[in-house]
Amino acid sequence: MAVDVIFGEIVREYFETVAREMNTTMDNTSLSPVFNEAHDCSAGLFFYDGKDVSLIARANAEPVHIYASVHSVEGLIRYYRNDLADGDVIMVSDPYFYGSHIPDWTVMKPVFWNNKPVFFPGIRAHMIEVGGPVAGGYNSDARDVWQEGFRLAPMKLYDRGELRRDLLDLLKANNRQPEIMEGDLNAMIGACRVAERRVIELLEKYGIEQTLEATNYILDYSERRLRAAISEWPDGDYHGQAILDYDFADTRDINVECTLRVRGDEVEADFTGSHPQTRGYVNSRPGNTGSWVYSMFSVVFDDIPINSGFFRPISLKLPEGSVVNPLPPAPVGNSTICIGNDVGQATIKALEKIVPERVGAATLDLVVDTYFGTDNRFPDNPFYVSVEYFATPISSGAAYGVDGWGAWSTPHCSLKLTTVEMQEIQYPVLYLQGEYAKDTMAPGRWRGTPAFQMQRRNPDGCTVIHCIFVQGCEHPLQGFAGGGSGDGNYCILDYGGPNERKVTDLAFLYPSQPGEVIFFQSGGGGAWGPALEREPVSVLADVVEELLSVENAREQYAVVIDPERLVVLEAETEALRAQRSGP
Amino acid sequence: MATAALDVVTGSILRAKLASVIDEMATTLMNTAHSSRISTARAFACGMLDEDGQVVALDNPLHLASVARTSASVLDYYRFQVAADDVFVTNDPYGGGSTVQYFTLLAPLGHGDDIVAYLAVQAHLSDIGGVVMGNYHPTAIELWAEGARFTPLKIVVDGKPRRDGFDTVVLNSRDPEGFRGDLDAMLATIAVGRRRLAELIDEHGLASVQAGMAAAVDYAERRLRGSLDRIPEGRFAGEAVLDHDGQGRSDLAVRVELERSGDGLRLDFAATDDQSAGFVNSPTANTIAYALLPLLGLLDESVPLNAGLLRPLEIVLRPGSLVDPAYPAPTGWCREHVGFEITEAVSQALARALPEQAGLGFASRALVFTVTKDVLIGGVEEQLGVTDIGALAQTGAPATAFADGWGQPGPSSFGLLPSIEELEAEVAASVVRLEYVTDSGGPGAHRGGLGTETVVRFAAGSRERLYACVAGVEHAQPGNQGGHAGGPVSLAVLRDGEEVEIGTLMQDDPLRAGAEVRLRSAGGGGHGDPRERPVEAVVDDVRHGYVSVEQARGVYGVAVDAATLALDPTGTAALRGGGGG
Repeated sequence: MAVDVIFGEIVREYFETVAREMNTTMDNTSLSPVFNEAHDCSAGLFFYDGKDVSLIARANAEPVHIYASVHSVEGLIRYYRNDLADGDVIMVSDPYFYGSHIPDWTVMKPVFWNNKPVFFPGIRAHMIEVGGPVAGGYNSDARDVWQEGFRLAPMKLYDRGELRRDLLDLLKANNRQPEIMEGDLNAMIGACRVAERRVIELLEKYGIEQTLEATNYILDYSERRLRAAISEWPDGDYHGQAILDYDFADTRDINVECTLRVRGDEVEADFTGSHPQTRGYVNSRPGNTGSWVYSMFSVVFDDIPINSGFFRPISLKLPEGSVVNPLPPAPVGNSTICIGNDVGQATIKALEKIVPERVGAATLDLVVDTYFGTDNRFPDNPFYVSVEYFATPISSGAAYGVDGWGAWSTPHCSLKLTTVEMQEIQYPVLYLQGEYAKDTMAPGRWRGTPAFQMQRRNPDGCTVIHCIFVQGCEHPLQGFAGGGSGDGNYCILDYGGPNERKVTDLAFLYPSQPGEVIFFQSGGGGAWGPALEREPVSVLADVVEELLSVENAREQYAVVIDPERLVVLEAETEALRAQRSGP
Repeated sequence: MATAALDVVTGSILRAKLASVIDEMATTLMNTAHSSRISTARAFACGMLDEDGQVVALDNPLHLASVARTSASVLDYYRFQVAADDVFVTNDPYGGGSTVQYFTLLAPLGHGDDIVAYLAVQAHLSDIGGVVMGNYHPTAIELWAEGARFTPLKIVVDGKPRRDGFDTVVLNSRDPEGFRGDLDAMLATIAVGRRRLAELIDEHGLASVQAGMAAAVDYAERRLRGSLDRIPEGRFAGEAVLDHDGQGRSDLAVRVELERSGDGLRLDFAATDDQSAGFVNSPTANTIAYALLPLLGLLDESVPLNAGLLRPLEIVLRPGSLVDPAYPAPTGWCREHVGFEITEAVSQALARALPEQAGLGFASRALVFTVTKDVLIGGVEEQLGVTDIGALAQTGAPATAFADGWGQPGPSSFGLLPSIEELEAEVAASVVRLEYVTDSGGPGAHRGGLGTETVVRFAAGSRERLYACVAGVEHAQPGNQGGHAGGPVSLAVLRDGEEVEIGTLMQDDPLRAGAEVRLRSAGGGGHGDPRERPVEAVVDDVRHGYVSVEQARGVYGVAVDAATLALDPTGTAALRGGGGG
């Protein structure tokens, strides 16, 4: 099919802009700071050729959502294949019905052209409150999926343009913050409507034939590029592993094994050998598992556009009943991050064996702290639910040629940090500290990002209920090519108080008191390359910036620095390094 | 609406025919439901409503108010959007319901271009998610922990099932097959009701049927008002106390005052305690249902169950109290507690107004059940089924002025006794004892009905986990007019040779081979002075094992020879003829 490359790229950028505009619509019209500040949602444009569903564009989507969205949209189209009409808006959230975990809602609107649905804008968002036994949706006591929340099969929210009021009211009836949920849902639908308009404008301009050709070009291009790149890899089996500390029930050290089997221009990501599914709520549905695998490949090939064409050469082998492909009714609530992160790490550790200079920290070891209560700063004591993003903003690490910097690792930087000011206005919290910590960087030729240390205090009269789930304490983010691991995550309850207690796994429904301070450390990602190969002048710069002590410069990097004058003592450094490298 | 004047005979015939439609619906439901809660325990009601949504016929008095209020809530929500072949579903405790297990299907009946009536089925379904299978969660503090809440939803549109609506409802059940089967049975029941009522309309004409409906309602109203006339002027107070609510509160009181209001009756619950953090809160419809029960004792079975019974009553509730809780308070146990306390409080008040009516009660069943839990790959738990042990326990009926307590109190005897064989076939357990407990019937001139002792022993291979919430330990069924209280409830678990009493609640407790659950149900309260019970009756009681020789002597003042079980007239005369009594 001869297609004008320039036209193909114009259409590609058009579609990406559509996805971006969906995100902006969501940011600008949603009620919850989870969306309008943190942007914890992903817009995508999907295409259905009568047989398969493809992702065409996803702008700055959160990687956790990407493949999972394809899965969900595919599921929605299959479910409604005999009953889809112009003006429909459909949604789904159930983990065992093409979803990942209950709070992730996917809303999709078919765009009709000549009476056939062809393009499907969809948006997937993590709803902060979804009913169920625990506010905020993270119930570590859940031992089956019914204990996690209200389950939603595919549902038509709008039927031929008419709102199904009873369904909307049903969603509100199973939500502790129904007005906020409704506002956010409307924002999602609005985003889909904007996309629909734009897609129709494109079709009106160029017609369906040309647009379909361009669409196929977009998908084929990514497939072709990835196949070409994979062909250059030596055939073989490459293995990586990552371990999740705890399933928040009674299982520790949950291993995820990833063996990348490279054969010609294809790769199979085989997770055989991974831990069986667990009692605790960290079981990862295939859509979620897939998302993490594909996003690791996207990091390695950062100039190949992400779409279903990119996914085609990568197949997944996920043993049923394992933690990466559980059987119902295994609970899944925390798996988007706890196990998701480990799927990502195992995959990228396998990729390290093939292209070590293209790997680095690319996952997200989020410590989840959903907190809720009544806000007693206000006379009507309104109920609130929130997520503490400042508990865990660091997961970036080093890559070849680049020290770790910033907060979340690059693929996850579609997620932004909420602002301290907005958090303090909307929720009963006061931040006392929020800064990089000294001597917490993963040591390496290119070093990891420093840990972030934070303290938050409850205002007078405000008790706050926390659901804190720590990961990455026993098994922090790994380094690459001989680089060290990150410093790990943990929190300290009642910091400085009489009941001070360090938490390295779980504090569920913990009521923090008025005036109580909670401390969080969020460790950075791993380093790249051996520490002894780091340029001494870079080590000095770290010391000057107070990220590294003189002692650790010596200890970790064998770089000797005069503490008074802050200069590298080159002879001593050379000698020490020679000694350390050893015979 | 046509209200052609009907002669008494025709009115009576139509009333009976409407009732037979309900009967046929009930039979259909029992014969096609999956769940034994429906087919055996009969935890359901079938109802018919007129074009204004008034209940004109119903079979189960426990559901009168919730069928009425749920229907009103659904019809209000879908005003102007109701079509003849629609079916609506809801389980909302805060939309006229009681607990999340009870699902109501409401369906209009069309005739020509109009909707002329509605059929309703309200039934206890097996599981709708939440934390504990079966949706009795003793430590729930919010409705959502008990189960998924379904505000009114249209699940059949123009005769076609709405697939996504059904799928979402069923998806929230751990028993999708049984649940869907029961929903289908309810739909079949609706279909039967529609057909029969349509035939009735064809046979008699719409005007007559509607007149018949109106007459049935007027009749019930007239009969109740007539009975209420017996109540003298004045305020009559009643109170009943619930031991605990599973959330740290004890002695929660339901209080009511009855007073004639014109030719009606006001029931003022305003002095009832605040709502609970736990699952004992009774939503409005449930409160009305249980408040009505003692008043039904003023009537006989010729009075139909319909909206006419609600008209003479003015029920005053204080929002935020146990009997009118605020959303999202949990309500899971309300059909037992505080349902029982509501009935008991009204019964006490009524007994003050009409002493001869004392002892109209309701049996509160113990909440004792096991969940069958399977362990899958990786230790993942699957809740497979619920076995109601409490259903085996027969609470004794209170005595009245004219009879001993016998069997279960009227409104509780709607269901059949459960089948032991069925239970033993379903779980790895056997019922090793189920018998009356001596001395548990509240002594009185008329003796209260006996409580029972049920012992279930669990066998090898048991996958059962015990859940229980116990009430009636501290507060037994009181007696009336000098009668004594019935025996208390008790629950114990025997494990490794050691018996442990359960005072408040128990959750997720594994029962392995050899473990035994021992449940004693409450005995009914007695009526009148025990020393006035006819001597022959006491001797009879002793011979039957209902009353011990000691109780006969000590409480009833009747001497019976322990060896021969023969009356000792001399001893009795000394006990009774002499001082006291």
